[in-house]
Formats: sequence, C-alpha cells, structure tokens
Amino acid sequence: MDPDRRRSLMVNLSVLGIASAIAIPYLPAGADFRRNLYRDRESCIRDYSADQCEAPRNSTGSGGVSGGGGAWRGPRYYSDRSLPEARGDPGAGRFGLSSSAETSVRGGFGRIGRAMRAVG
Amino acid sequence: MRRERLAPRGDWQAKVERLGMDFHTSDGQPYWCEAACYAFTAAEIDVIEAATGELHTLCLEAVERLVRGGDLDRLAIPQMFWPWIAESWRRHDPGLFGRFDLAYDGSAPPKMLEYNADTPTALLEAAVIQWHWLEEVKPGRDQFNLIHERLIDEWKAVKARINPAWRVYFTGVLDEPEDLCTVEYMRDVCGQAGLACQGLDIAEIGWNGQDFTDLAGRPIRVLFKLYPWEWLLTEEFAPHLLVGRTTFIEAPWKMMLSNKAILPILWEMFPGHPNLLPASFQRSDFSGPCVQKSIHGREGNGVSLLGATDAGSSAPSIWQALCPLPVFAGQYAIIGSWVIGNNAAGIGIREDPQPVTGNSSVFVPHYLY
Repeated sequence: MDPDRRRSLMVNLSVLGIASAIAIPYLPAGADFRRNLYRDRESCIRDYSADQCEAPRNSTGSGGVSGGGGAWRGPRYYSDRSLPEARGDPGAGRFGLSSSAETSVRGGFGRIGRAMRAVG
Repeated sequence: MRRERLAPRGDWQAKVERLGMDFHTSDGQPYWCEAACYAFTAAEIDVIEAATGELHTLCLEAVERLVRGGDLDRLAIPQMFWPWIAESWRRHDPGLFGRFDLAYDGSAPPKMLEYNADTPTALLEAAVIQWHWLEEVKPGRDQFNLIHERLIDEWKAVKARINPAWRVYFTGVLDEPEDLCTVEYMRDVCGQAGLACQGLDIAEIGWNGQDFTDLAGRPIRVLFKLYPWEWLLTEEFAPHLLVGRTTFIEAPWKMMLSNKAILPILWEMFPGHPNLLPASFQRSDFSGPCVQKSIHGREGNGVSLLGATDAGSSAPSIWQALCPLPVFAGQYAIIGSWVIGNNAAGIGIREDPQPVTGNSSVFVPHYLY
C-alpha cells in the first residue's frame, strides 16, 4: 500500500444503483397514524393476526399499556378513516379489544423543501 | 493547476448510472462533465489540504466563541433555539461532513468563499464517480479523494457512541433525484460501517408526543437529514426539537457554520488571515465592488456581484470582498474541499461560464500529475 496515496483504496457500494429502485411512499398532507395498544398478545391477534402484532419494545418502558412501553402493538392505520388511502390499511381492528392507542402526527417537516422544489 | 480537454468515455452515462448517478444530465447538458479534467501537483494539493484544515479549525473556534457569548442573533437563528444549539456543541454531537467552497488558482493562497457545513451536495460525484473515472481514464494516477473511506470511519465512530440496538434513519426530500442519491450514498457508507439503516422521506417523520417516529411508530434515535436546519427551525415540528431525544446528523451546532453570517464573524476574529476574505455585516464597509450574500442562501441563490455604487438588496445579508474565481478555457472554476470529521479529505471541482457557481454548474473530475 502506498503510504502517500491521497485517495480511497477502494470505493465499493453495497446498495447504490438503488436510488431509482426505491419506492417513496407518499402520504397525504397532515396524515396521522394510529396503532392500537394491547395488554396481551392474544387480544391483539384476535383484532388482527399474529404477523401483524408487534411485541413490547421493552419491559421497563414508560408505564405499561397506557404509556405504550410494555404493550403489544397492532399495525399502523390512518386515524382519518375517510381518507382514500385508509381503504387499504388494516383499520382499527375486528373487535375493538385494544385498551388504548398511540398516535403519530405526520407532515410537520418538509413543507419548505417541497415548496422550494416546486418552484425550482 | 491546469485544465485538460479529453474525450469522454463512449458509454459514460451508463457507467455513472451504474454507480447511482442518474442526474448526470440536466436540460440536455451534461452535469457530470468528463470532456475536461483538472490536473494538480502534489504541492498544490498540499496547499488546499492545509488551508481546508486551517479553515475548519478557525470555524470551530468561532463556534466556541459564539456558544460562550450566547448570542446567535447575528446568525438570524430564533432565540428559543440558542441553548439547545449550544448544548449540542457542548455534548460534541457529531458533525460528519462539510464542504468549503474555495477560490484557488494554483498560486495565491486559497480563499474561503463559504462553508457548506450542514447539507453539502455533490458528494457522490466527488467521493465515488470521479474515483471510478480515475481508475479507468487515468490508471496509476492519484487523486485527492479519501472521502469514501473517511466517511466509513466517521460512521464507525458514531456506532461506537450509540446504543447498538438503534437504527440510523436517513431523510430528505426523497423525490428529488440528487437529494435521494446523496441520502442513499450516506446510507450506503453507514451500512458499510456496520450500522442498521433505514430511509424515509422528511414528510414521513412523525411525532408521538415524546419522540420523532418512523412510519411504524418506532422512535427515531439517530437521524441523518439532508434538509437544512434553517428550514427545520421554521416548520411545524420545530418546537419538538427542543424536547425530542433524537441525535441529528449534522448536529444542530453545524447551523452556525452553514450560515453566511459566519463569514464576517470569522473576519472579525481573524482579520487578515490569508485564507479568509474581508467580510462585513455592513455594505458601507466596502467602497468598491463586493459580493452580497443572503444569510441563508443556497446553491448560488442570493449571491449578487455588486458594482462600486450598487446598494444591493435589502434581504438579510452579509457582504464579502470580491474574489473572482480563476478562469480556465472560459470556465470559472471553484474548488469544493471536503471535510470529513475534522479532516480535509478530498476535493470536487465545479465550473460555469458565469462567475457565480449555481445549481447548473458542471462537475469536472481531477487527478494529480
């Protein structure tokens, strides 16, 4: 190896060539998502299915089901059920067995970037 | 330093596309230009490397002074974010990369035009595309381009600092091909450093009342963003930045350097430094021609060459002494000198028939002779 070299020895890419292959999911502006929280796996499975239920993230989380730390989670679905995009999502569950839900608000970043691109 | 003409590879478009660059042509004109290249001596590269390292050191001193002074008003940063930004500096939050734009003609000392310290672009071109060009077109020659391996090293350093269970998220305006390429390239080198990585569009980031979240509602603990801080600070989620637990790359403190106001601050701190240009917050400090730069301008936007009697616009701006770029074969050439971590790591060259480098300026590879 040349100790005086000024360039990288090797430039390998593992995922590039990729950019055009990435599907960017677009969300309706301001779309909020909800995930139902369950006290146990069985309740979640009854509302959805085994492969749609996510195990608790950690056992020392923030306050059990109400805080979401030790809860089982159902799949993500749109809070606003009137959105056309909501027709293809899992919805709020078959029997409504969840004890609570967690909500993520979306779209709070990106407004300026999209506006700049739109005029650029 | 000289410019050489040469014949492009016959299938260059396909070759750069295979490396992930599908924005090589814009409005029918090549953006990646291999009909020419620049040749440097090792001594010239030494000068650029030393100037870049020196300038980065000056910038870090300026950040330290700004943090100690506690006054970021001249940077036009909202006051509610000052303590949060200062804390990110004191915590040594990671700054992975930046690009100085330098005026250099091969003889006079390089002059700093600005520091793209937050969301520098033309990364893939500099780190990857011109490296592979060299391998094929100038085999056996060298190039000032350690960008790729240094980036992997920096991500390894990030890995050592974070919880191994955390994944690193990569975001930007991902329907913009150039931004997507930069984000994906950074995701690639992050993955090569052994970190778990995931991309999502900037608009897909959620907030659950405690954390920024991904599409599955998982907390985002580390986020690489190719999205300027000055935009984030004015958007709807901005207040959550102050209470969220996300580590951002680039770190919040980098917004002090990507801001054009750093130019007069540097000149105040280091007047007469050979790598700096006189700069001021007052137009009246320049009796003759000078350059007006809007504080948050990007990609040449908000840069105006003012004649001796021109007052310029009233937008929040700084003024900088005029330092014409060197002209080679009718092209104004600017050197983008990369800092990875805290070290100079390579260069990319862009040229334009106009004196102000902009979005349409072409990228030209280089080698050492």
